[in-house]
Amino acid sequence: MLTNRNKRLIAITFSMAFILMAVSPAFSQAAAIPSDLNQGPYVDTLVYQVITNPDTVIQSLLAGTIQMDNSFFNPIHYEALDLDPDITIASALRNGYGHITINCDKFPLNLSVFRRAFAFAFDKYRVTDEILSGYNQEHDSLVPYISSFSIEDELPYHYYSANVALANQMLDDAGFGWTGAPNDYAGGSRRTTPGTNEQFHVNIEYGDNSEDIAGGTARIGVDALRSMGVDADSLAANFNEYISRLDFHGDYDMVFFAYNFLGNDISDLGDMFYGPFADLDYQNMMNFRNASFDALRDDLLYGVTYEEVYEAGRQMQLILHHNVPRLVVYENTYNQAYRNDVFTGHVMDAAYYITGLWTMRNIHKIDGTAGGSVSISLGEEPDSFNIYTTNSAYAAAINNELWPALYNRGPDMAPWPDLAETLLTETHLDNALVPEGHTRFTMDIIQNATWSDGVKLTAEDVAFSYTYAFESGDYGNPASVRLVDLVAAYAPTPYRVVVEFNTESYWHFNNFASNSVIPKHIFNDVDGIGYANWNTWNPVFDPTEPMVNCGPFELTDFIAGEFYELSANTNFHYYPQADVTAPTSSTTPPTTTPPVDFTLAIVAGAVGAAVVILVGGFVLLRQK
Amino acid sequence: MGLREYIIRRSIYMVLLIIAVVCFNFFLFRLPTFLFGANPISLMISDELRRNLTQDLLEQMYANFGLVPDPDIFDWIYMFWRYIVSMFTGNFGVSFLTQRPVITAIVERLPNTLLLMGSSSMVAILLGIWTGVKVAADPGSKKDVGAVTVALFIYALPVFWFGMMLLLAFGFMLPAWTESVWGVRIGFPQYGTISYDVWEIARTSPYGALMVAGDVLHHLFLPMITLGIGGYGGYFLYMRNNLIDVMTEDYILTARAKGLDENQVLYKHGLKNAMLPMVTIIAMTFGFLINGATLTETVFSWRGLGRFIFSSLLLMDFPVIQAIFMIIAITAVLANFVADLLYGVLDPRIKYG
Repeated sequence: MLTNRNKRLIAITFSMAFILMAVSPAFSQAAAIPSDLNQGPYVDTLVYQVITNPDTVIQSLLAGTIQMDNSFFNPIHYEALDLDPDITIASALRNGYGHITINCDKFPLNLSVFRRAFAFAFDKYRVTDEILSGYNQEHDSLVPYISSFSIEDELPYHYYSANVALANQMLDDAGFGWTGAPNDYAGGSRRTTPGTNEQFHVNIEYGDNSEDIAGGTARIGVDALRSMGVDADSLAANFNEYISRLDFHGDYDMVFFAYNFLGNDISDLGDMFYGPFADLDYQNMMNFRNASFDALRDDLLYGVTYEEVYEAGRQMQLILHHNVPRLVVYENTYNQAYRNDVFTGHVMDAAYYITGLWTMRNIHKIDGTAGGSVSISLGEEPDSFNIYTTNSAYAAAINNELWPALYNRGPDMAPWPDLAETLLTETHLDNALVPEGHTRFTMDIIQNATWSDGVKLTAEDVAFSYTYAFESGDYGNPASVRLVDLVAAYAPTPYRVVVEFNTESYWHFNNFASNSVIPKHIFNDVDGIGYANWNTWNPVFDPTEPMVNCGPFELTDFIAGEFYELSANTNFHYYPQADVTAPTSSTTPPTTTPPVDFTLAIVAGAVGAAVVILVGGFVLLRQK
Repeated sequence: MGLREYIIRRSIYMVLLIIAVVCFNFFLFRLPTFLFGANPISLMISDELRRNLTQDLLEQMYANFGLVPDPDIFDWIYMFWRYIVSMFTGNFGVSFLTQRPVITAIVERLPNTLLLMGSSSMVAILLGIWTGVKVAADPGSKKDVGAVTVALFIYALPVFWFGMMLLLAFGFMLPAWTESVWGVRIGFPQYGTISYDVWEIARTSPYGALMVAGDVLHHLFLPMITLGIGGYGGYFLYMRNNLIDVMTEDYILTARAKGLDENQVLYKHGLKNAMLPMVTIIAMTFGFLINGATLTETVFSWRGLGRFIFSSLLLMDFPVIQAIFMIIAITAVLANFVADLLYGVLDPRIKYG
């Protein structure tokens, strides 16, 4: 048994661990919150906390240690969250879908009648009921429902419910036979190919890390194939392996996976299903070839008006719907939870959902006062703060708050002016000075934007941003891919920028307007970061690298993998005017604080832990 | 052959072994590429980029990462040569994913990993040895049977489940209870290695480093206990069985015949001899400290190397995983070597030669 002295020793040692609980109250003053979406932010800080365990996120939301979750929660938590009056659940239709990609090169999957029969036999209502518990919407078009280009409601027919009789009739009419008695799958009879009369097998592959959703959906697909008499199986596979196989046009039958869109742009339809690209790596993984579809490509990519590209997109969707190179099997609903007991003003955003930039811009305390600190969970740590290298949604959540653009995507994905004040779009028809076949955009920008290092943001910065993305493309910068037709970007006056493309296309605006604007004095190719270093620029993580931006928030502190503190940028061009809001806490100049050596803290922690364990171990081993 | 010759010979073997492991690593991590054609570039491309990808950009991406789209045997030989040169010159390159130097990413996570794995290993070893010694003195007793049963039960528990239960009890239920009773939340942190609230105070306080150290310890407690308790069963069973064997030796009988106190027999004569086989196990434990603990790190959102290794493997981030595995191989080989040397120091009967 332990002596009293040793008990005290252990008790004191362990109780030391409990003493550091901290509270950081925020003080603020009543302020009117204007209705302008751009105005803000009204909170002092956003704190993104990395929580990798989804169950901990739910518990933390319920406990109130975080206010919002950046990700979507598993529907099994719906009831627990719904029961809490301090929590609101925001549901939004996803800008993307789950689908089955079909290899249109492989006999007999290359026969569109077979793919269409499969679509008719597939029961999307089963996915709704059995897989997604009602958190989805049946969908056919290859453009998500929330896109203004989607013609889901105009499609002549739908593949929502299973029509097995029609599917079998279509196969019979197309010459698909049976190995035995017709329609006797249970008795061992299987479909044979038309002409050659050979039995065939179809595998539906799915990601082995998603047995419930991906596996369940694939099995419904297998049931559809079997209902047509086709010998079929589902096959769990490694995502990394099969996505490479698809990228390189390797062998497969059907593969289930998900696909996400970011904005309202459907110009990619022109490349993704374009016949001549069926042999190119990373393009047209369905190997789909359709002359009528290919003929519409130029109309889609180089249509000038919304009506023109809408019409091309409409016809393409109809062709794809009829030929089914890719069967959309659901468009699911995303559920996000946030606490409603401290802050209000959340804005549902079709692109970034409830934790998007508009919420962060408009969120404020429920008593109408400004100030306060919002804690938001991130499922993974941001991999990089280099806007050109990162693909991480977690990094994007933070980067979106830091960087300006001419236009942001509004809550409904329509362009929403940020730096831009006016926009003039001209072709040769509008202005003889514009070369024939070119499109010229002339924009006046606001005059009160300032970079975080105090330098004024001018049209030179805006023009340079496009030049930088374009020129660094030679060194592999992916930001260049949407600017391949760019021929000029310049600033005729300090607050007017001209961007010109050597083609006419409705999509040019989409391709440049929401790109991040970067400071020329930091990135220039003479004494700045330069074009070649687009990928080695490592802001935040490398203290020697500059991180100069001018978004609504500034990244003021972080511990990698733990938390990232963003403070309201009081120089932000839409920061609430002092006479309107005047949040006292926000206008206080930042104080200079002595740096804390985190490595020293870790070492001290390690030494402390070792002492605790050694003392504990010594005491325990002394017990004879 | 004396100790010096032994060390030289072992050192040569060690170097050869490390070279073999390094060569093996190149092929191990590229096995999905060899066998199935899996390609890291496919995993780097977002849906957005995939829709707009050009062949020029694709070629540039391959070039930037030192990859070849459809490598032939000469490409493989070239890539292997460049890999070998990089590994042995300490140039681990940059991560495919973050495009940051690999060594930086490893060094960032190493303190957390050593802290968690080191402290939990010590808990497991001390607890295992202590309980093993306690029950080995009286094998077959109710205490012995009970301890073996408990040890096996805990050893068989999934460590992530055990961690989640501890987290639920002490991270959520306890603070909620203390808040309802005393109006203040007392318990253990739910995630991370440091609280933002503590950091906020610490960065303006002259005692900031101490406060952060205390907070790190506070965060460490639950994951350390999870791994420590979860892993103590193995050490317990080794210790118990070794000691039971030793206690049947003639020199134990002699000690008892000399009239020594049973505690002296157990601790001075029994434990010392039973500890020898434990040395290898303990040395190897410390040799594998940098492996991290993927599941425990995920449950407690602990930023360690375990999760980093796991995510790098999934994303085929070759530079990261080959560097980490090389370091693991070196530490494991070194730990083994140290264990062999310690044997000679601890047991005078052992001669090198």
